[in-house]
Amino acid sequence: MYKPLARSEKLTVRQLPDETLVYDHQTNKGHCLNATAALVWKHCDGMATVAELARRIGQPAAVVELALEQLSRRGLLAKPAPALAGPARLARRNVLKKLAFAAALPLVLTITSRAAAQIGESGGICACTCFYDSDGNFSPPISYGFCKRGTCSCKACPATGPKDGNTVLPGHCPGAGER
Amino acid sequence: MNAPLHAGAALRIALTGAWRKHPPGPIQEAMLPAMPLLLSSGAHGLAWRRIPRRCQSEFAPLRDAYRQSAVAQLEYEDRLRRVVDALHRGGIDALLLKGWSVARLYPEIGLRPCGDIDIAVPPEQFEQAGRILQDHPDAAEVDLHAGVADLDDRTWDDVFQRRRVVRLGDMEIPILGAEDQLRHLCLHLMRHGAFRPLWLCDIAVAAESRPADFDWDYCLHGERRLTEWTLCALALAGKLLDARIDEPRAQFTAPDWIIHSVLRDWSDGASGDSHMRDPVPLVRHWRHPGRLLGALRARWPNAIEAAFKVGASPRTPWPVLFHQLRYAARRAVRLPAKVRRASAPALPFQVHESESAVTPACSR
Repeated sequence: MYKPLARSEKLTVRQLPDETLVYDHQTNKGHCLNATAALVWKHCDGMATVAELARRIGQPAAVVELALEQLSRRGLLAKPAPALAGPARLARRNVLKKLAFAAALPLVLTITSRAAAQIGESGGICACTCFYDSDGNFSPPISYGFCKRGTCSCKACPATGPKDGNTVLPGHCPGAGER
Repeated sequence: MNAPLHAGAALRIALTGAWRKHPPGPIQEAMLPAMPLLLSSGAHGLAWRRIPRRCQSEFAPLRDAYRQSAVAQLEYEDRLRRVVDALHRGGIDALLLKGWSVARLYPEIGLRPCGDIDIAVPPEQFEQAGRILQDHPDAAEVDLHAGVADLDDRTWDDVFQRRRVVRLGDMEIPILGAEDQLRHLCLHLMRHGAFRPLWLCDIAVAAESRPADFDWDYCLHGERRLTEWTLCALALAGKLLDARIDEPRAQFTAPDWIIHSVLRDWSDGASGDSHMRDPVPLVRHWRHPGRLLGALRARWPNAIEAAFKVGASPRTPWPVLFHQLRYAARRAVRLPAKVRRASAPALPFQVHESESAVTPACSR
């Protein structure tokens, strides 16, 4: 008998006004759990079956199953929830349709963070040094700038670069010129 | 439904008191036209807290952006821990400026989006810190500062001695002392012409959450002109956002020209210092006189930024146009050198395909 257990490692959980935010440090993704999904997730202690969980939180089993499916798909359970077979799935859908107006259905939204989005980008991270102030005057040491995938992110430098046109410290941005 | 509000005024209403644990009453549908401005200014989280339930669906983009900011903050905290740990292991006395050090004062995560990690180190450790961060995986997100530029009238030792250490999970993060932080936030705001509404919220939240033993005398001690700008920023937070700063020593009346300048920039959705607003360098417009006028107009200095940077006081007896002209002239003096460089075959910057962003070459 499947007894769901909430994953706890490498997760940060924060409460937002109407939902629970779970940040997965492994995938760099954030998951927003609505109140029903959060309730199910918090009760997944590995001791209760789906039916017992449903009783414990006062929700129909179909709602708990739907929540577990969503949580499992996002890696928020220690052990994935078993997938429902065709007829059982259909039956659950019918129940959920009837419940849709009476109960708050569980909902888990996944937000891809910046780091996760950047993993797929081309170019690497590199660094450059800048000893120029915002007016382009050599003024050591003001700020240390870095490149972001071929684009210099040094905010202290003027867009046109150093006033004297000199190269400052050895800095190399492998992505520069490639994009 | 109420009449649509002027964008800057709508922003001001949405942000008034929004940083408090219990913000003022909900804002209305009339705010809808200001949504792009709320999103672009980073004020989406604060505004979302004040959207009434009955019209939440119309303002859904604010909620989505707020969720994104909350996730981004958790990610930022991870990076911050790694960066501070690396510097600490390298024996660097680092201080976190702005960013998370202010975001932590807001009642919920994600209300104050954090961008880069601004780290100040003692000037003599600057190069060493740079070497440590150069190979660090989070280097791209770090802005390293030698000393604290906006606290020029204090020594690094004084500032570092008054630092506070706050916990972030299992890590201790050194940040500015409360007095230095408030002064720094104020001067940073004014140096950049107060174009970003969230920076004024930062001042409001820092002022309202100051510790019981906050030393106003120390906060307001220093170069007189800078203290006046500090007081002016506090007055702005009180006037525009209803920040509660019940301290007789902090009383000041922000001049009208400053208030007008701020509201105008907020309405325009200004997104950077005046000379940075046109991403294409002026020298590239030089060969197209038709575009030059527009480019010059885009660069016309923000009144506050100009007055601050030419060394004037907020109570300057001169018309502000005088300071804008002085600042513009100072910048124009450097133009010939820029033109010469632009005429050279190899430009020290690259132009992206869209020409919407021009960035300096990193090997300079």
